Amino acid sequence: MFSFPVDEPNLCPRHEEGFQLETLNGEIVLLHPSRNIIIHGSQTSALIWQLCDGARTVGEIVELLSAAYPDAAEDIRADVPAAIQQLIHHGALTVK
Amino acid sequence: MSAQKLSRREALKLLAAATGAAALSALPPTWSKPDLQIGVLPAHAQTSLLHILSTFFFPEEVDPGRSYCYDGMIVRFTAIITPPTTGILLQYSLTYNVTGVPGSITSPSPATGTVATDASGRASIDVTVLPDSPFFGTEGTLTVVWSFVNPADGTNTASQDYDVLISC
Repeated sequence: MFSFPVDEPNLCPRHEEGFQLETLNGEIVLLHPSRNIIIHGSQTSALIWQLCDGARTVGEIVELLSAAYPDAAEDIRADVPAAIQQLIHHGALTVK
Repeated sequence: MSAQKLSRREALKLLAAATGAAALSALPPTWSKPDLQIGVLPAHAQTSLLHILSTFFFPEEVDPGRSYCYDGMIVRFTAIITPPTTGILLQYSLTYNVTGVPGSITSPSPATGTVATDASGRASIDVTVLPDSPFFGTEGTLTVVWSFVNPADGTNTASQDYDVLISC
């Protein structure tokens, strides 16, 4: 099983192919019919997913979200790598 | 990127552009811990072309600008099937459990019926709850139970609750 180094800020996560994205009120549902996976994410999960475009590093995503939500900067430093790790673990994101 | 030097407004603008949000107001106003619910569908869902019924979309109030308590409340429930397929009939069964001032479901009537999925696999119903008295509002829990009309289409049932509070 792939283990994502949560303290590695220079990795660039990107979407794994094959997921169908549905959004409603800012929340997301990711479906991967051929792999039988369904993922529902809250608004903040949706933000993280959408920022994982293969160009931004984990560190840049953390910095951008911390600038947008400065009161939660400390939480964001922990939440973002954890959410990305979870999405990688379930095959929704990959890293380069 | 020099996000550390960004102002909050600049960062929100960048976020809106990156996420396709039509307006800054579409972004979450505050940060909350990301919540991910991950399900693995049964293998037979793919091989037998059965559909799986889920209710991952939270119920939402429709037309929240209704300003008088006697206007009642309209709540939209949405079910989704996977893989997405159009035209699959889902049955809904609605109940309103009064926990405070009485009220009732006025639409749809009757409170049990069918609706077909769209191309994205979703089916929605708008439910209207009105206070029994136009002067006192109502409080209760609105529940919908979804199921397949034709069991050959898929498996699973799913239910959703929405807490109604109309105060005058």
